[in-house]
Amino acid sequence: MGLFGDLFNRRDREIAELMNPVLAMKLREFVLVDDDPSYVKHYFKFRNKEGEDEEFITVYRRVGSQLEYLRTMSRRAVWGPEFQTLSESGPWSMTITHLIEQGQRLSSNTRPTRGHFASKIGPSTPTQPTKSEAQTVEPPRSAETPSPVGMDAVRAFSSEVRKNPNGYAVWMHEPNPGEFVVLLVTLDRDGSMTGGWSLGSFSSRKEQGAFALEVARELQISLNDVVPASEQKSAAPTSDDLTYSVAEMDNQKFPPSHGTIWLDGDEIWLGQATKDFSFDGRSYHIPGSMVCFARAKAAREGLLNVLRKERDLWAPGNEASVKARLIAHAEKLRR
Amino acid sequence: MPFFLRVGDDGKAKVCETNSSQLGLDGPAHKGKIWLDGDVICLQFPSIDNITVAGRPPLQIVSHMVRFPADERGMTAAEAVLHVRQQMMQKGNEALLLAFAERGTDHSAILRLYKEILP
Repeated sequence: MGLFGDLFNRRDREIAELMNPVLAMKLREFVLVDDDPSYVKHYFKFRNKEGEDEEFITVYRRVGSQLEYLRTMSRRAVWGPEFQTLSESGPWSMTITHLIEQGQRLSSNTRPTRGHFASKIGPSTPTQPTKSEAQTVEPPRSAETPSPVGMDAVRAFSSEVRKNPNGYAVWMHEPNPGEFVVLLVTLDRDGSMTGGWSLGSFSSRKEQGAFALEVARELQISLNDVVPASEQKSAAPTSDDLTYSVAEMDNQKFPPSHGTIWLDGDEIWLGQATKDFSFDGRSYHIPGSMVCFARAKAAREGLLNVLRKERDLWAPGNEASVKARLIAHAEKLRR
Repeated sequence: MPFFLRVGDDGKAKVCETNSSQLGLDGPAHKGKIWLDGDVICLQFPSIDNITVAGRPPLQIVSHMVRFPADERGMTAAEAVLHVRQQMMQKGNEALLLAFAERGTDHSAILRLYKEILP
């Protein structure tokens, strides 16, 4: 092997440990957590070089007789007391792969444990929800119609949801005609529902939509409409079933604009509103205008010139100079 | 508003007359506000609310602003954005409106979508 071989091997090991810190840790405990009808978890406790414990939980969902990997969570002293979900695509990806492989190897020779604390970490099948909690529900086929829980209850979810926003979504569902339900659901990596809570039931789609939008904004997660496959349209939406309203624009409000602009065919239109003002008891009038510009270099320069003149005319500054500019401009237009 | 100015390809303006009732100062729904902030063109669009389509929840595209350098290149880009805004409200382009609506309250996602679809 020689000196160089020894150096390179050492370097390789250091790089491997950098990429996968678990390689440099000593496994002190492995638990096969198997007391949930829906999930199986592998709990690992390692001791790192600094003598601190680092814990990992790999979570699997039961799909028939198979286990489907869901996520890996970890608790380290530097992160605080809570378990955090590790990003699959980040620097932990090699560690996650290592833990999955190690867990599969170790679980074949490990007796399942019940009542381990890891059973309650991450996704779990709820047992008996209290009234103060959002009620657990089956997938949207369920016809439960609990009362709306309100935004205070929703905010209670926020710290957990923000740790893994891609693992949650707000779903709107109509389990029965006229019954509009909003659900907070947990998702696996493929976006399939793994569990959830009903946040409320509404008598109209408008109320359902408004509440769902508020929840999605509060938790900063995606909002989806659950449409039964039988009702899904294969074609893209058409104008016949699409409606919207455009908010009014107030040109007097900040930011003060130089005008309204839009495209019509191959021309750009600039509309400028009439402006009336008075100084020292005298009224001045700047008439509105409508100008269309061709989409050509010279015309674009013309449009920019109009905008620059407006910018300079209304530029904030000392009151006397603004007043003088406006009066001079109004007088010039009057002549 | 029977009279308006038309600035042609050569940059020269001429007074034109129209009987079109559509040439009011209000402009169409896809209009935006424009102003210069120093040497930056600011283009702001109002929100589009209550976007409803069968099988979807009500959506919204928030009011947003896009900025360009105040030069020929920036003006061309601003035109492209005006074109997108016009297209999304035309019949047959509902998918474009929904593409924005799905990013509706996230300003950075809206800007990313503009970047993706602009030439």
